[in-house]
Amino acid sequence: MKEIFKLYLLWALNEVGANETTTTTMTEAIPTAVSVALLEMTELGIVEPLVTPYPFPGPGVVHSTPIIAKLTAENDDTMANQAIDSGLYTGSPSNATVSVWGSTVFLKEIAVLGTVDDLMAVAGQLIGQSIMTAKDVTLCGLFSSFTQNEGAANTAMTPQDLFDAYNFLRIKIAPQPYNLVLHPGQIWSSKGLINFFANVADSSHFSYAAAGGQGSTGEDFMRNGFAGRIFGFDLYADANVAATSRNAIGAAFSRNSIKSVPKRDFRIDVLFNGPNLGWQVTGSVIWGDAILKNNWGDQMEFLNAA
Amino acid sequence: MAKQKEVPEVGVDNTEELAALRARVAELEAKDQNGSGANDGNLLKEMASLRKVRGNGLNEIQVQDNFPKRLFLWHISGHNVGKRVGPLEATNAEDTFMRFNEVGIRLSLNKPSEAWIEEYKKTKEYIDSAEVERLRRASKNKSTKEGQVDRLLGVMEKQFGVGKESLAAIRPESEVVKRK
Repeated sequence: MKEIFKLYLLWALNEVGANETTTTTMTEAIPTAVSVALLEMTELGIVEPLVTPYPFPGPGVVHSTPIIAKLTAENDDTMANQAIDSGLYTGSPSNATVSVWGSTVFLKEIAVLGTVDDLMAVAGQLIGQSIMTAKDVTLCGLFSSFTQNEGAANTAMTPQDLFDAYNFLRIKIAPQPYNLVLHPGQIWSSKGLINFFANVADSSHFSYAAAGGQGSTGEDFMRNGFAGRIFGFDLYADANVAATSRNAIGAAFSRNSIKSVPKRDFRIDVLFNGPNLGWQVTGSVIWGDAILKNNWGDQMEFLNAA
Repeated sequence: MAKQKEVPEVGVDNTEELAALRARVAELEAKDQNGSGANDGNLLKEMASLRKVRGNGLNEIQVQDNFPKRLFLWHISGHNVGKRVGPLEATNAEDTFMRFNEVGIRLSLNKPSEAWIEEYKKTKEYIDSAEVERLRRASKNKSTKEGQVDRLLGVMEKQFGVGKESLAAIRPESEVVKRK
């Protein structure tokens, strides 16, 4: 009997060992888990890969891109010199001021010791995601600074709006491909783009559907919930697009309409703070963005909800 | 002497009042049963305060971000008066300000008040720009299906000499299928 009790004690000591955690410490770690979940659920970093990158090493914090005037070919053997600097262009050069984008987490030693997860990894993930979200929000913020606007507030999108956007970009000789970044509500809500493909006869549906069903793009939406290419645009859904209660401002744009200016890549710095017994974990990038050419982008302001 | 409650006269319809009272009783009973009553609310408040105090200085994780200040600009002219632009980084806000100015739209860092917008909407500048916008939207809206069926019926009416009503009416099966 004694032997059995000894065995039980050994089992108990091994099973309920130092690696176990208490409910209290796990509860304290919940905010971290929730934050990760929320950020994971948000689609991140949509716009940056769609615009032109201009790495900006070396001195300076304002990245300036001169707008080069186009030349006019002459049918003459005594040609006039034509300046190719920004002097002939009525607009100003495109300027992007780079600044620091960062998040810092103070990880207390007791939290690290008391949690089964690797909290440093979690902190890094959180920092990276928060920075990417902030950058994406800023890039989406540029959409409303294109002067051309196909849509209007409190207005449902029509097929002609998309054709007009395509038309505008082609007239301005914007380099292809063209991207269409919309708020999810502008795609899937009852006032969204999917309504063009519904095979019903009312005021907000696309006339082509009357000819014989929803078409292959409509079928893509029905099958996959999404169609990658529509009306000549590569379609992206981005929850970071600026939105109010009913309206959102997406954009149809060429890659060359916006510039992304990385000055210094993402970095994580860790510093132990003795008196407070914890690590200060800081992640940061130095980065900027700006409209590169106003006429190569088009605001798409429409209802994102009924 | 305390004022007596008014008693409804006999024959007065107080169905609504009774229904409201019954609803209130049901609501109170439900609160009592599912634990969302007034006492439970206080208890939850106490617990929340307790946890707040306990968390300070122990194993909480503090996160702080450091992002550049972003600005909003507001349309103060044209049909989009009151519309928000941004969020924009300061240099971009400056460039946007100038870019819109070049196309005749004034922006401001200060959000216009509702009263100011209402006043602006009475000006000729707004009325003219709103009319241009109305016509622009009207032409775009033609691309939707609105009126398409009516237009088709109109063409068929002309072509076949059959009235719109007859063309659009679907007859019941019993009228068109011969039963054996």
